[in-house]
Amino acid sequence: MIFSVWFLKLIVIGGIALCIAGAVGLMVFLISDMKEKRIW
Amino acid sequence: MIMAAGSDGTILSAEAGYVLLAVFSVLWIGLGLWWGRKAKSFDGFSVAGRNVGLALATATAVATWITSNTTMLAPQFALQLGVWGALAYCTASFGLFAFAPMSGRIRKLMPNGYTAVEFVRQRYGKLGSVPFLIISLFYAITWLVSMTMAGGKLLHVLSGIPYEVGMTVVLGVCVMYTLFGGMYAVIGTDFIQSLIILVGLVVVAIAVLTQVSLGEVHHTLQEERPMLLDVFFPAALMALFNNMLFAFGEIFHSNVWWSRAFAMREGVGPKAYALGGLIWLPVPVVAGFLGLAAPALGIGISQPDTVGPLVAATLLGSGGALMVFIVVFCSLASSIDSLLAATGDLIVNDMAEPLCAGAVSDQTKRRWSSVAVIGLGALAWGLAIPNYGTLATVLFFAGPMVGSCLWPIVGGLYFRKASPVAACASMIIGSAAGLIAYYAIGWFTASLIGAATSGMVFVAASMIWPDEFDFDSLAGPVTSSDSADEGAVDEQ
Repeated sequence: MIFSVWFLKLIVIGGIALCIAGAVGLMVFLISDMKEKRIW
Repeated sequence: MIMAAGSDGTILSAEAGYVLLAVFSVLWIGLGLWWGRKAKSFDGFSVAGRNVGLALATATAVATWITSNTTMLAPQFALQLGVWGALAYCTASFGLFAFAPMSGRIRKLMPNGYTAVEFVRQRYGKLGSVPFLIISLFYAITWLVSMTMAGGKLLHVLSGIPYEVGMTVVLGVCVMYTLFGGMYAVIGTDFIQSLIILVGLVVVAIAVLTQVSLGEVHHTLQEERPMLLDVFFPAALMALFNNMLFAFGEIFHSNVWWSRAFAMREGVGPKAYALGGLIWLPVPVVAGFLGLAAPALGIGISQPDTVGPLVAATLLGSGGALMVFIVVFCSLASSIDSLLAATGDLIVNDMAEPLCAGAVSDQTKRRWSSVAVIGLGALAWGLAIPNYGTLATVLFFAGPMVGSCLWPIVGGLYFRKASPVAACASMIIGSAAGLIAYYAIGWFTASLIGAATSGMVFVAASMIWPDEFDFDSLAGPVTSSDSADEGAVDEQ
């Protein structure tokens, strides 16, 4: 039994999408912290 | 023409490599000096004033856990263990998820703490802290050497820069900016590095997808290496659990993670580690995809642990080589600086200070920290020069030892009855069993057997020799450094 092609697509495309969301999320947190002067 | 391929078959010219090294060296050292203004006291240098907010806290969890092993070893895992190999690497994020609630408890129990060994010393006494300190130092130095070696290898593979030169520059730059800026510089640069890594990986993966479809990758694997798609690949399944337990043990025991828990503002730690785990989760899959794509692209791999950079650079030419170079350089720096700072704290706080008969001033500890960072850099350089073994060999040798620390830490944080005898016996017997498994069976079982044996010994010994620990005793008095640092730590 082998992993199907759709599963490979799911993890690779899903992984790329999550990486993008992560980078955007970090920027949002930074802007939020800057506004509240709570970076450190 | 500076980006043109080298004449010796490398993807990037040596000149391009040197230019990139120079640019990033100046950037990191400059930032280290800038943030170093805040790190005048030991409290500022080691735990960044204990007031780090959510953005930097999340990014430092992500960047530190994305080591060069993530960007170089995940493709190797995928190339050798298939789809399960990439997924197995993802389970390392579970360690961040599990540490999230622990970080909140650590901050609450020890509001003035500095290191993991300090906790073990107060919780279990010398019986627990001596083996724990030995394991912590061994693992930290192994990881540091592994990262340093990776730096030398990467620069050599991509641009032909001699191994000795590359690893010396990467290590030297990290030593310098950590020396100047301490934890402020480490956490600050981690934010920039995490963004570069995430964006770089996405760009490289999308660029590879424009050259070869996932259908082609799957078809080629099915034809040439069907085992890599096997749902029941035994070694890969073992690696999955092994990697997960390795990650639990590594994060739970390492001062790299504890020092960040102490550095984060109260209430930030649990959110930051959980979000960090979520952001880190897809990284090994995206990096591992480069390894899975290698057969479909017909790229011959002589050194499996450099398959990721080779695939990207071969396929995308100079642009891909530059991107991979930057991503892996950031991965290396984000881990090396963390190890230098956190292990330096262990040396100052848990070795040098306890050996002194009298009280040690904050400024003296701050000076010792600088000496410790320089000493660690010199030690790592000396051990990395021989270029012994593959990255996996070096890294997983320490796996069973950190796996055996898992239960003493969890038990020590949450259960009164966890005793010094149980902690000591579980660490020693678990490490021994794991190392035997490493040689007798294989690296992919070492952490699994080490952690399992350690767990059984810990539970049995705690039942036979129970303790009644008072957790309130962990909250030490406010140190003089707290007030000394206030002036230096202004909010931005």
